[in-house]
Amino acid sequence: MNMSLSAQLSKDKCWICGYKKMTQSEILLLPYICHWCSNEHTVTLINNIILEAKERLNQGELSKCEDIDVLSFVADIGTFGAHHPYFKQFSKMMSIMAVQVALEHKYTLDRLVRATDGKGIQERWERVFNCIDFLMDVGLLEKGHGHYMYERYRPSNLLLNLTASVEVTDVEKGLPPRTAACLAGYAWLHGIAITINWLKEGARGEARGIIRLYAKGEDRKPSIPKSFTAPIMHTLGHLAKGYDEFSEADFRAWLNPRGLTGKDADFLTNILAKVVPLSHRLVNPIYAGGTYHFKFNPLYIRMRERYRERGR
Amino acid sequence: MVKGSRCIVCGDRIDAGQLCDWCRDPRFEGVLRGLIEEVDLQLKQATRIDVKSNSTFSLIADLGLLGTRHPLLSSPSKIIAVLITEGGKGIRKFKMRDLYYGQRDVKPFLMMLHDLGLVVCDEAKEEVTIPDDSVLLKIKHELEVDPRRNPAAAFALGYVTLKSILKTLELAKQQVVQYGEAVMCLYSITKSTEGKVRVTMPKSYMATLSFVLGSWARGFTEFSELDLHKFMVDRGVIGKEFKEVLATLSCAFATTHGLYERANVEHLGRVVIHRFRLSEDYVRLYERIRERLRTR
Repeated sequence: MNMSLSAQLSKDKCWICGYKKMTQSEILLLPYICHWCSNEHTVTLINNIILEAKERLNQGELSKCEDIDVLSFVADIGTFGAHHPYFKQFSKMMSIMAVQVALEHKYTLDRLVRATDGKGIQERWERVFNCIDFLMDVGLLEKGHGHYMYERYRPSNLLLNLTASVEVTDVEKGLPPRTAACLAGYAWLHGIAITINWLKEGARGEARGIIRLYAKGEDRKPSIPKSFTAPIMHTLGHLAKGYDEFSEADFRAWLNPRGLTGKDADFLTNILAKVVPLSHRLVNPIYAGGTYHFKFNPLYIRMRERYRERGR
Repeated sequence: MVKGSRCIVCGDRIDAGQLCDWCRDPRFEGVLRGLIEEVDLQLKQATRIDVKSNSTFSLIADLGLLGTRHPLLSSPSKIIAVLITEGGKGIRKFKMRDLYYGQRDVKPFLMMLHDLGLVVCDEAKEEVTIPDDSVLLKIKHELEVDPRRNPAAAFALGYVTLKSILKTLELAKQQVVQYGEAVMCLYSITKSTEGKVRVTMPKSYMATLSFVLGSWARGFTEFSELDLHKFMVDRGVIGKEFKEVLATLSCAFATTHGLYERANVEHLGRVVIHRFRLSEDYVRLYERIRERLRTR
């Protein structure tokens, strides 16, 4: 199935943020991905965040995701996914899986299927398997032996370590929202990094990373969840380039070639401006001169500076 | 009496009053007052205007530099230049008629310099005198000490403009600002044979100054060409005039201001824009002024 997915990707758009390329030179120079998402600074920042977040999660600090800057940032990314109409089902699946692993040291697929949305049972099962493949890519599951799915795709040490630190009593309730967002955010970010790498290498072979989770239409063609990936890539790109602030005009001008205009752009701006009830701390909005001006959370600016210093 | 449909400071279209929302913002006035008080305090103690190491003087000079190229401000710039150079030679008295450049009436501008203490005007004798403690002489001292690439002369224009803006904001709260008052002294005011008064303001300078100062007063350290464009379009600064403003801010003209420590090009997909980041010294100055305002 995934082999055919790579064959269906067109070269004239970025499969991360949805940027539509207009010139032949753009397509030839960077097929499948745009200059923004493939930017060296952005990729380095994502890799640094993943590295530190993994270390923190391995140390069992998931419950401290409010206090640790890198985990808070990852949780903010997860918050975006948790409110996306399509991606929220995967967030829910991960949350249920984490709780069940914490309580029973295993997970069962029928519980995951219940968390999915889909037209038919086949589509819902397909999404569960896509999610398992995705979790294998990001290292939350690993290959094992046995008769059952949870034995063949067993929880990795990372998942076992991080679930050891959460206090849960009921599988159905899932994780607390911020903790669940942190776990999902780590997976999304890692998935994005893997897909960027795969696309940069020419999208050869089996699709890897977050692209596995993209919704597929009736013609099996994947569609990019732009309203989830675009604001994340904008934020990451902006932060990686060393900027501390951006305005609504910048944000809209960036969204425009990604096909996010009108009400879509209004909604995403409102999310960043915290007009929509979403508990992220990525930016602090200031309303002045008829538009919003966004300042990155000082914690995240310090986090970026730390990585830059380390790189130097 | 001035009753127009445009803000008298930045030129924005307004329905009522004389100031737009951007210029009427209390943060704008508060930070501007704090800055002017800081400058006045330092001017009393300083014997020269060291714009290279003093960030307060440097900011005023940088803001003044934005207007030195404007054609509508060439007459005030030339008057200041003559007063500085001749004052440096020891010539303190000038006839008003010797300070005319073109047909523009320079009296309102000279009276404004008189109000700010830069010169003493005797209207009856039509004479202008530079007092011993004038800022103009301090600028001359600075230029003698360090003449290489020194923007100290722009300090005078920046200081005059900012003081007049502050006076405008204070006056507008109590009464209607009249022709020849406050910032209107910098504008060219003509009267037709039918008695219609026409005010021509150096909009590309005043709007830029208002944007830079307003963004600074709101605590913004970064802005892009798109923000500037939106602001300028509302004020009627478009096309080539806007490109000139952009070139001035990005130091593409021979205006070596140090307002921005970073002015680089950024690709936002299909559009390429300039992005500016305020100098770290001015961010610190803002924090200092804001802290002082908070403790009051």
